[in-house]
Amino acid sequence: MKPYQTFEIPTQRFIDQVNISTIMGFEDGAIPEPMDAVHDDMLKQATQLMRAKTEVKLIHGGEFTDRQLMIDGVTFQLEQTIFQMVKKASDVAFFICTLGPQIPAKIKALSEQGLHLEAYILDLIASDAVDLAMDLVQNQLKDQLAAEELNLTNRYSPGYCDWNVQDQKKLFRILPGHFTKVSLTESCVMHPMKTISGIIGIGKDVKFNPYNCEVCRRKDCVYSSRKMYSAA
Amino acid sequence: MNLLEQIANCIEFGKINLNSPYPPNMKGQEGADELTLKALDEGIPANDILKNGLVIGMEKVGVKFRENKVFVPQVLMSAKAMNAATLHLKPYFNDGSIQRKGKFILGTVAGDLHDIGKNIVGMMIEGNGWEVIDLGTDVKTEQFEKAIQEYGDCVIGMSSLLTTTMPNMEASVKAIKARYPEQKIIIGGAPITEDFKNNIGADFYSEDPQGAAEYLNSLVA
Repeated sequence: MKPYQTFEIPTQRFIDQVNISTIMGFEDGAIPEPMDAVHDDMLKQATQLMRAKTEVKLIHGGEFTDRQLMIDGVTFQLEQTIFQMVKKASDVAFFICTLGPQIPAKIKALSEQGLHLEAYILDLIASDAVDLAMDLVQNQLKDQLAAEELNLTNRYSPGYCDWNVQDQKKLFRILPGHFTKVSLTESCVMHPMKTISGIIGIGKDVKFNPYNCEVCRRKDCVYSSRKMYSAA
Repeated sequence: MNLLEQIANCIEFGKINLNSPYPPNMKGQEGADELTLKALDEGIPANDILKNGLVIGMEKVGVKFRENKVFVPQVLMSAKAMNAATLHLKPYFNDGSIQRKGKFILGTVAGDLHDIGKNIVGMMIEGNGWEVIDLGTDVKTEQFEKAIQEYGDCVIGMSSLLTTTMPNMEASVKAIKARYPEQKIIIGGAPITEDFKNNIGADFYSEDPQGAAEYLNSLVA
């Protein structure tokens, strides 16, 4: 795998998989009339507005000790959950994935017009979409690494699983977001919104955990809703 | 059903106006928009329309949301119906015929961009007769303090959806309490708990918007 890669992910490759009905509170696929029309309209608009881009930087040979990852001159404080999952990694991939500036601008505009339902639905669609786009990239990385018999962990982001959001600054030191045009505020908020960033552990002795929702306390996460579908 | 009950019903079920297709079983019926105008035309005091129509409707939605009988989209439709009605009441807010219960300033804490929960709390509290000043997301302590200085007597509401921005909430609460010891602060968000509220010295924690509205109402009862 190359040490630095960029990806532009065509929206058609993931938009059909967007599914927000459960997170809205409804049974899978059962959004009631006329909200279903709003949903369909927002999905169409999202398709037009999304420009998914990802950049990934691979660094070999991080040092894992005492819940810390020391890599490329930077020390990350990972906390127990993430540390356990990545500590056996031989390489670490840093990533930033964004949908671009148009979607957040549209969400804001809808909100300012008082179209809160539309804004809410578009927000959920975008949250799901950025993760689906990154899923595609992660699968591509998995394919690249398969020949070397290397596995990937789940991806983990500052701000989640008790990983301090301040570590976002360190992540951006390693991967400054030039290709994706993502910037970071002093309080570690990424711009544009609907951007995700984080790390993926790579190695022979790491594995992907299909469900790790129980370690997280977020009640509105799209992943946990997917888990709910699977369990149903 | 009298006119005020009909208005409350429209708010509860998110019926905005005659043309609104939602809810499907009220298609073709007048909504909060037309019925509020009708009530004003009939001479019903604006304050009664607010208290016995809009607030009643929003309270019912709040309770149903708490009980998982309705979800965010339905609450947003109710809020939209309430806004349609409130537009007609605006002149009465401006001339003092309707007194708001107080001012509520809310924001999502620094480092956190999640705003859906915060927005719903704001809508629900506005629907309970409060003036809501929404500072948005990623709100730093200084912005809360500036709002306190600007708006005076108010209650502050803070939201956090990330465990990792809870320390920012703690810092904001402690800084505000140090500077304004009497300032009431309520907090909420998925990872927040009653214990956390006690540890950081906030005044109230609610796990649902209606609880926040009920607490605020208790302050002015």
